[in-house]
Amino acid sequence: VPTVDENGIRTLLRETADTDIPPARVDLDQAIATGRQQRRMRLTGIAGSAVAVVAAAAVIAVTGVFNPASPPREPIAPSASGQLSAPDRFNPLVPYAAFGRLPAGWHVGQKSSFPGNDLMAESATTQLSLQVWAPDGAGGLTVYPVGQCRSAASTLLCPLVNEPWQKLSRAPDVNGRPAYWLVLKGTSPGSTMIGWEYAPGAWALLGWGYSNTSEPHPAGAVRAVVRSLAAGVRFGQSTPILFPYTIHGLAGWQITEVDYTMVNGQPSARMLHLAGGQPAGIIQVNAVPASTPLDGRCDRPGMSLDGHATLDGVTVDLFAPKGQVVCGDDIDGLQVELFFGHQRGGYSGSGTALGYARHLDLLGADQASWQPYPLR
Amino acid sequence: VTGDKGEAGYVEYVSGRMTSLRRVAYLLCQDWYSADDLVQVAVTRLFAHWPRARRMDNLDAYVRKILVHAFISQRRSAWGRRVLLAESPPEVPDLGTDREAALDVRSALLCVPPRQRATLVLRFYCDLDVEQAAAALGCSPGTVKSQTAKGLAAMRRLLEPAMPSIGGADRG
Repeated sequence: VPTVDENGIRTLLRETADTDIPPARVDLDQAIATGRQQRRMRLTGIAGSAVAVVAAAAVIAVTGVFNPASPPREPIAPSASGQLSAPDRFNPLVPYAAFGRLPAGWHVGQKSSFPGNDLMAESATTQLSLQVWAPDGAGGLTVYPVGQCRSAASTLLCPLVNEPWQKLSRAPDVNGRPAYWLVLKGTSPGSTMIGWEYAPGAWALLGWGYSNTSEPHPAGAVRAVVRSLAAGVRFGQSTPILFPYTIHGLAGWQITEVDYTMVNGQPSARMLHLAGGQPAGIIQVNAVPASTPLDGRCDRPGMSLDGHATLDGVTVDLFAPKGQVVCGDDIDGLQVELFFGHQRGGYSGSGTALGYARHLDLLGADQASWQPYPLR
Repeated sequence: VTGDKGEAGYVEYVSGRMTSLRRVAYLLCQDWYSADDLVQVAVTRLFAHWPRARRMDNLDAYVRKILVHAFISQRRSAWGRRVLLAESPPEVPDLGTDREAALDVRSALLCVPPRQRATLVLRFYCDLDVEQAAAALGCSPGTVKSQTAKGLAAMRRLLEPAMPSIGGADRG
């Protein structure tokens, strides 16, 4: 067994990387097509760093601004006809859907049991993404509000996918709603992706795959797992995400997305994404109990956040918005990380991120103290 | 340079580096599904900058820089995770023959914060020296040293219960 010094790590990394390499999914034609678009945008004066922010803003513009002050939506009750009615946008603070009862050994989140690595679900106005893991496989669920996907005779086009899904065949209805087996053009027809119209005009997609090391599974059995998972998905959920902080005094900022994970059966916030400000920018807040590992982007001598020592950093990124980040390692039992970047990728002066961090009112590491609806 | 000629050069270059890029991406992401998404992002960005990039003295270093920055950026922003939806969910890591040992190492790597993980991969898999790793990460050599030490310490801490005869000192 190698020791965990430099040579040991070198050995471990090489052994890890030198596994059998599966066939590549990398698509050079797609890279060229997309890269050409990016070139055109750059040539027309749209900085690459601005594109992501503009795109995020466009999502808000298209779907309407989510007003954090508004009361949460009530669970969507079936109409008199017994039919579910989906909203035209989701409240990112209240995940709209959840997996139903899962078999023993399965759980929502990432396979690793290490804290901090349970992959977050993503709740935004235009979609909700959840993952589920089993001992020998994994699945992913994406739910869209009404009107986000366009269904045609042979295709289903949903946001954030570059090309439409091809409808392979009709699948058995999911809870009485029409469903299709889906595949992306040019990929294997052995797809285990199902798409179903869970409410009129509103679609959900669910895929499943077994690990390479598991026993081979007949296609029919895989599809049965997918159908079972799909049938168990519960829509119109009303349990809000809990936050270990509140934020005061950020008028003009809107919540665009909340990444969350399940803690004691309760959706609990990880990364909160805000957009707004003048000039337009983004703020990302991540606060977790101090025992949970974070990215650790801060490595410069810090400043004080209400008497607590912090580290200060500037993120340097070739393409994403540049910005500032402030980190506190143990503030009231929490690790706190706040990123601020603005559309033009410039810096607003040392301490700007720290200034935004002062808008946080931390609630401590005890989940019982956490609250929903963080903007005050 | 015509578009076609530039494109052919790009395809030739990327095809020749595909395996090594995927292996580095795999070490960063710890699953082949995410690794291929990461490589897809990197080679797309490379093509967007190809007219300038192809004239660089050290194109490999430039591509590595794109890859690492894309990785760190994706781990920071959920936007990156949302752009590349595909037809199937992430695979469960292929643990190979020595399942438990592989699980330990890869789980430990997953627990090392992304920038420290990238630093370890650049230093000890790509065999970059401190200055080269600093250039790839866009930070100071001092930061590389501290990230290396922290990453090694984290790996030791995580692997110690599973591995006997753990030794070695922090070196940066």
